Amino acid sequence: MITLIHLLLSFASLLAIVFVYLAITEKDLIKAIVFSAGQSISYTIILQLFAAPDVLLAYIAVSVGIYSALLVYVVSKTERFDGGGGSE
Amino acid sequence: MSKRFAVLVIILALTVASALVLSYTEFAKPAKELKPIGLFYIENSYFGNLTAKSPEAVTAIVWDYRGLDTIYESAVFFLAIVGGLSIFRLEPPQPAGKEAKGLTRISRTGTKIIALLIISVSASIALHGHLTPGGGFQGGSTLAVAPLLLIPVFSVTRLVSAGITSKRLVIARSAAMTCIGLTALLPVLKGLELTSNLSFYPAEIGGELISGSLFFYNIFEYLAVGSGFTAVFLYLSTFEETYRREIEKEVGT
Repeated sequence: MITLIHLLLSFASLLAIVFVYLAITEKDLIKAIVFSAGQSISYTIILQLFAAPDVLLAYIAVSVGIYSALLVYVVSKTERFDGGGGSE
Repeated sequence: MSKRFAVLVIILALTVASALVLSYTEFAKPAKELKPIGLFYIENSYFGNLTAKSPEAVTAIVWDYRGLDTIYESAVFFLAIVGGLSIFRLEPPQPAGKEAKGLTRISRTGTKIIALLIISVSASIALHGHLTPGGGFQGGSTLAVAPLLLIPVFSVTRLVSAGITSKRLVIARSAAMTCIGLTALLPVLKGLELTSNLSFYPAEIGGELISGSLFFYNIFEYLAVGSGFTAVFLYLSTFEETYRREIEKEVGT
């Protein structure tokens, strides 16, 4: 039997795959970080549907907040665009 | 661009197909009944003989049944932050002289309100960690998001001149970690085992359920994680010239 939870689960998982793919192929690193945060948000939906709010609370603060901010700091120390765009 | 989306569609189709195959061949069936160890925690975390007097089974496992693991885990986190901080120079790289203005009044006012909300939510996550989902680490990492917002909006200089220096944060974190260690060690003085919970700590104070040591662990972990992350962010957002000056001073060029 398929319930709403199953549908939401599959939607969130597919959304996470889309975000991961976009984050990997994106040349603009800031945009890639935003996609990575989107992937984290869809994972939090999955964690909520699995009834694991303890993991969710740690995951959302670290993966959306702290991890993204750390990466923004790192990108600000290097170049924003990935792959030789002749910017050297 | 079109090639990028074609690959994405192929990946999605493969995922859906493999999910359908797995579910129709019943290769990966979900468990229908509870495992005995899970049943034990559900029956004992609040009721039962081996109780931790906590309605929140996860916190009871993390800080009571598997308390020693978590103590060592906190030690690992402590060492990780120590390692992170030692990459930066611990000599106070206070951004002196340089005035940073921060963003506009609108974003500053909005950030003030949001930061206050984040701090109160994180406190509620940590202090109710023994009653509702959440706990020290969760609350602490939520607390660390507030300075993360404040640093770009108000600039580091404002934060440092308001008294939030990395040295103080490191001291606060070390004090909180020491308190975690003391909470674990205190029962030993009475001849009980390390990280004993209800045989040493009271389950209630003044009619309020605090679940023995869980409440104290959550508070101290909250402070340790929050101040540790904030210290790292303060170091990360220090102006690059300050570091360059420090390095040049040491190299002597």
